[in-house]
Amino acid sequence: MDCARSIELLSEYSAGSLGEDDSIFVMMHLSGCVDCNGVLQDLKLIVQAAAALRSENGIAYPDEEVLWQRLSARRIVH
Amino acid sequence: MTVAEVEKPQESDFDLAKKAAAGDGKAFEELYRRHYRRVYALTLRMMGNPTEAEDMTQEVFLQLFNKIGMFRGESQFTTWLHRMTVNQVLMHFRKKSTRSELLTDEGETPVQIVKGTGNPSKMPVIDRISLERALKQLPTGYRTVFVLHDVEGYEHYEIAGMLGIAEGTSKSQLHKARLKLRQLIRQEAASK
Repeated sequence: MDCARSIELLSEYSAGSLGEDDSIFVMMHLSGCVDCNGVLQDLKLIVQAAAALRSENGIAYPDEEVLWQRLSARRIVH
Repeated sequence: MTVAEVEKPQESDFDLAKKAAAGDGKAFEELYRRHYRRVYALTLRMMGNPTEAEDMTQEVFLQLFNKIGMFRGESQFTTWLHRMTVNQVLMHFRKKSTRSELLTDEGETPVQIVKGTGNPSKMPVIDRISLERALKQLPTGYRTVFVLHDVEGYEHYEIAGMLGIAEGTSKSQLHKARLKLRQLIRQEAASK
């Protein structure tokens, strides 16, 4: 029961946006729960990996020229 | 190419936008070449499908062509174009589905809570690659909020405004999206 409530609050706990009561509850729970600590660590890793996705590297881009030609044709039609 | 040509400073996006608004096709083409990768990358992250992202990139630049005169230089051109791209994708989602489908139902419990193993050696690798794979499987509503917040860096109040939802709903959708991603990454790791 406590784990379910704790997990529900983990994103906001991690962001520091929980109210005082909820924050203390999560902190106390985490101090004795390996499972919820594991979930929290995973969520942090997901947030870190998401920030890395912002980079435009590693994407297979469509051909610049082909896309431009198609766009030009549609601009004329419009 | 002469030295003078090589050293000629690059025109700003704002100057190009002004020229494009006055009908200068070359200026518009330059804006396209500068920014199409950024627009494509964003549409791909939001839509998860390269073909749809390519079509959407065209739609965004058609929209840009029609609205370029509205850019007054009050913000960075890239910020303005970024917002236009997000709005265009959201409009596409709205056309495709009802509003209730755009968000994953609050009453639904789609996220199975998978607890940690407590053993770091058994933890799946959560990195950019595994996240990208999992993101493709995420329902549209979750993916939209996750990409806007965790990837693109929008605040909840901005996402709430864009999607026409409460800020609390944005927070709740984001948390469920992260848990769902975690579940997908773990499932993939377990299947190997």
